[in-house]
Formats: sequence, C-alpha cells, structure tokens
Amino acid sequence: MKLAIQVNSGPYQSEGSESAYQFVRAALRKGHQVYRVFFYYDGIDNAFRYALPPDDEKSMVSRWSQLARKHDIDLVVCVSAAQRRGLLCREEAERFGKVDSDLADGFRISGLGQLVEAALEADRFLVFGG
Amino acid sequence: MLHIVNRAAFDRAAVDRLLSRIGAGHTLMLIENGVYMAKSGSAAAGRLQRALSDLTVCALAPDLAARGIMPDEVIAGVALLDYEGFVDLAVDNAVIHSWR
Amino acid sequence: MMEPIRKKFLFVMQQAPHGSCYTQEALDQLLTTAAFEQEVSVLLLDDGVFLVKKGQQPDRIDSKDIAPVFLAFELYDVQRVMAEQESLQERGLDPSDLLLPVETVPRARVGAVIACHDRVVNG
Repeated sequence: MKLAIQVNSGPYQSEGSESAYQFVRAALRKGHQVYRVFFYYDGIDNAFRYALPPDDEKSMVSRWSQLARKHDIDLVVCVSAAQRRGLLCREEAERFGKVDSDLADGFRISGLGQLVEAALEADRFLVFGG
Repeated sequence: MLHIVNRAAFDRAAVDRLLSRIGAGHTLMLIENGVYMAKSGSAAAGRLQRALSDLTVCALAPDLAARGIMPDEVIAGVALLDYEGFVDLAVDNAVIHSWR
Repeated sequence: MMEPIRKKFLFVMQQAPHGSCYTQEALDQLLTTAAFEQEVSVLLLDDGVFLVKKGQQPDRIDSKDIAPVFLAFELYDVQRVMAEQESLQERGLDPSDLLLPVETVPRARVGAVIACHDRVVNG
C-alpha cells in the first residue's frame, strides 16, 4: 500500500515525531511504499539542520535525513509553517535577503498542496503529533 | 475505522467522552501516553473493559514497555502490537483518525 | 480520460481559537483542501465549538479574525459544518450564540459520522 503521513509535532514537543518515524520504518519493513511525509505546525522542527542535541540523545533531524537518503522518501516541510517559525531553505533565504539556510538534508520545502496531493494519492493517510 | 489515541484519560467524564465517540465495531489504538489507559486497576479500566464487547482495543507494546507497564498489567482483552502490527491495523482500516 | 480524484475530507477541530496559532494553520489546510475541489466538512468538538462563537474581537490581542473564514465556507463549497451537541451544551452555547448555522451531532453519533469520510484530519 501507499501511505501518506502528516507530522504535526516537533521532536521536543511530544512523542509524535518518534511514533511517525518508527511507523514509517515498520511500513518499509513490511514492503509498503511511504509516498510522502509532510511536516506541518511545529512538526517543521524535525527539519532544522542546526539542531544539536547532546551526544547521548537521539537526533530526530538526523534520523529523518538518513531515512530519506536510505529509502528515497519524500520529506516535505510546509513553507508557510516553516517561514512562521524561521526555518528557511537556501532559495527562501535568498528570496527574503536572509543569510541562513537551515533546512536539513533530505527535506524539501513546499506548499500545502503537496499535503493534499499526498492524501489523495495514498491508500492510507495518518496524522501523528496531534 | 481506526481511532488512534495518544493521551490517557482516567476521570469518568473524559473516559466516557472518548469511548462514546468511538463507534461500535471500530478499533481503538492506544499509543504514546495513551497506553496508560491499557493498564489494569485504573479508574478507566472498568469502562474500557466493558467497551471491549463493542470495540477492538490495541496498545503499542514499545510504548507500554517504555512506561514500565508489563504485559500482565494490561487489561485482559487489549491486544499488544508492535509497530508492524500498527502498520497492519492502518492497512486494514481505510479511515483513520488521530485524536488530539 | 481519468476522472479527477474527489475524496470526502473531515476536519475535526477540538481546540479553542486564539490560545495558539493552530487554528490559522488548520484553516489553511482546510481551505487548501477545498481549493483542490475535495468534499470538505468540519466537525467541532470540545473547545473547538468556540471557533464559531459570535462576537470575537481578536484584534484586542493582535490576532487574526477567523470569523470571515467560517463565513466564507459556502464560497469554498464546504459541505457540512457540524458541532457536537454535548460540547455546545457543556459550554453553555446555543445556536443563537454562533456566527453561522451548524448541524448538531449527538456524541454517540460522532464515531459513525467520522467513519463515513475518506480522510480525517485533526485541526
């Protein structure tokens, strides 16, 4: 089956992003396709390149980046939610005359249309981090 | 359909509110802090146990273990699932709602 | 020629307005979904019923007014705006307190209502 996932919470807000991550891994082990993971609300916090947790704590950002790289999963961060919270990729930063490009590897920034499209294209749609 | 609940409720009003909103024949999946509701002996346990005649109730095993709830402390009739079992539930249910 | 996909989306809104930024983002997702010509409905539960209370003045706390969005639902072809009966009663709201007419749903029917949609979003 094709699965679409919406992640609404950041790594330090609730267990939602952990649940989403483990669910995606389990779905891949079972041979399903994860069509897209869309990060909305504070879920965009999963995509901050410069988040630096202590060595003895997991890095959700790195885990998502590695998952995207290993399994070619489309990780999309909502542009309006990201801008509100100060997360800009290089193109956005240039557009707004800002310096930093903060988007972690494996993520891309796009609009809510990508979330709707994923919910339509996939066979199953789940929300984590409510 | 599948209802995913990630918070526990123990007072009667909150438990009734939650369970009343789940239709007969639906499945309730407890994850994250929601797994605390699967623990026997709580103020919610009796109500949840009665609900088992109408609903299927499952709880995520890694979340239970993380919280120190052993399998023999779980309400009888609640199915313990790992993440792969959770994926299977999602595949079996076309409509899925995660409650706030 | 393939028919465009049209699914029934239900936005379940349980949070009060103005106490967080989540309402604005929930409504953005709802309106985008409607703009994709999907069948969109709303179910207000718990403090979510306060979203449609009349007389909100969010400018008093420098916040955006959400009432115009709800009043524009018809333009966006939003199908059903539902509110749980018990949630309204518990909060002392009756139809005359609301800024638009809502379809009331008894708590015991909420599960059945949710189940008759294709995609459910918590907002």
